[in-house]
Amino acid sequence: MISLIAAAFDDGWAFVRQGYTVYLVRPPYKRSSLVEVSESAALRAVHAHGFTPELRDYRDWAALISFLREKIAESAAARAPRAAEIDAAARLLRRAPPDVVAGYLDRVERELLPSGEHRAAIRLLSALHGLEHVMTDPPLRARAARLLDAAAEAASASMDRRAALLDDEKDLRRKFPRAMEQWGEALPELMRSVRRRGSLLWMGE
Amino acid sequence: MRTITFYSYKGGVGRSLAVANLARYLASFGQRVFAIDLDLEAPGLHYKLASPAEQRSIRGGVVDAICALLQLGAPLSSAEAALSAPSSLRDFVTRVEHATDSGGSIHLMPAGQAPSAAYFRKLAAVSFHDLFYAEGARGVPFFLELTERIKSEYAPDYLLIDARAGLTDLSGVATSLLPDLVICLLANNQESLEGARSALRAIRRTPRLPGRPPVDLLPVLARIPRTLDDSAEQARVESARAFLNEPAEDLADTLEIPELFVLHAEPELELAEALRVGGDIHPDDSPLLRGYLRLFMHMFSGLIEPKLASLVEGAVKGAMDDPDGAQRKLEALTAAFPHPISYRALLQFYRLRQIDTEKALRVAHRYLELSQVSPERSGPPKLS
Repeated sequence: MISLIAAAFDDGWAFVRQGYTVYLVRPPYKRSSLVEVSESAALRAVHAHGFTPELRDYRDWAALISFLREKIAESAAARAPRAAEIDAAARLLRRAPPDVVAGYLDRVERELLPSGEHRAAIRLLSALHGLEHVMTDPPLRARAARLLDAAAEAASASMDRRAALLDDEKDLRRKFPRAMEQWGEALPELMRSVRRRGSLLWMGE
Repeated sequence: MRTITFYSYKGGVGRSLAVANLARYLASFGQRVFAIDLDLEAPGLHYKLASPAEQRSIRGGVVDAICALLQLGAPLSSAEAALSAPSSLRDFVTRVEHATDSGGSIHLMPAGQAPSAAYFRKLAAVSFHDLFYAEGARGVPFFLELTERIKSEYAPDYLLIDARAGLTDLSGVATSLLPDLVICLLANNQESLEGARSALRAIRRTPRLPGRPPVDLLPVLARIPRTLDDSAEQARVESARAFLNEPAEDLADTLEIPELFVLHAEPELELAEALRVGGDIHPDDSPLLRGYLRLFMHMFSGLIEPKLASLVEGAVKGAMDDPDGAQRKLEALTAAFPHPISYRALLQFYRLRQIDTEKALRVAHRYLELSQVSPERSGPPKLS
């Protein structure tokens, strides 16, 4: 018996319990990507990482994964109209006057960014930023650029927070006991900095 | 355990051969050595270090350990199985015999059963990008765990790493994550020097785990032809050293290489590579062996000198009763451990016994050659 405790259906990440052990599972649902976590990590995820609490039981892993895959598909389908709306807006904005463009920038600032829809915000801002009458209007261009930076930073921070769930100390201690004993909390921090840098050797900026 | 990585920006400079020679050298001084081949795309350390019989006994290596410990590609069926790592490295490690009875030992963790098709299939299944940079990537803790396991299971005095050439993910592990010292072999040409300088600056720039000092760097000019006279060669060495030490755009990256050691080319090695340390070759007949000995002697003077002094003492102990026997022992000692201490003792013995001038001059020449140390510089890093 496997119990689903919490899930984020946008990307299919989920906390599950099997016996006395809690795991974080995520696509592509391989056992190499299974992370053993503490109960408190699952609770923190609900409070801080956008997971919703669930309480469902599954007879085996196959049933659980099948459910999660269905939910990912449903979530993607629900997001599709929003993406279409943004693409349509971007097409219409080619000829829009500056006050309409400013209105869309307001919407990004007041709606999309606070609600965590960073990908949608980046998509819209990228379209706006490329418009000729935005490029030739310094205040508008500066505002679009500032919002684009903010959206990219927020998206990256959100990915970092999500990735940090995978570096759960309990899982690392179980799989790499000697390394964790030697380096402790410095190890997950090093793993994150290597991931951010995208290279083991720091070749410079 | 001290970790020494042999790295080169370009291949073909004798990196694996240098690892194998150092392993033999340290084992002959009673040290426990563990050598690991991280040149996974073109592994070759097992050819240099292990006998043909030992090579045939290889059942696995680094690639197998990566696949086993990380359960790569396995389906999600049993959560418990996913977390059960192999309990020992035994299946991935081969013991290498060596001729001396010094009490030292050599263990080798090869890349795997290379060059079999199965090995390269397994290697192809490993995505090194995912291993280090994907969400939940476990490459960094894996290699740190591997070295901790080596430390606890084999308790080596020295871990020697044969790194991949170029700037790759695995060469990054070998040069920035794991080592205390990087010996960078470089050919004396522009592409090798520029590439090596970039790599050495990057190694210095890369942050380390808390409490670990910066990696020591020891560049060595390799495969230098023995066709130049000493002063012409010295001028080239100085020019290469000046190039490496040129100020970097970001001044904090500027290297400070106090001395460049040289390993000479030996044309016979182009036909058949063979170990120089611990073999039948006398230093008089091998400029490469003399280069290795100067380099190793400098690096390990604190380790070697006390041991050698006691061996010399043992050799001359019965000299009053059996001077010929004592002389034979000293001559054997200089052949086995060519070092200023053994040469000085032999030279003193020759003078005492008024041995013919030519023989004594040859020993004096070797003594001076091995003693050559630049007095005005602090010298590259030493390990003991």
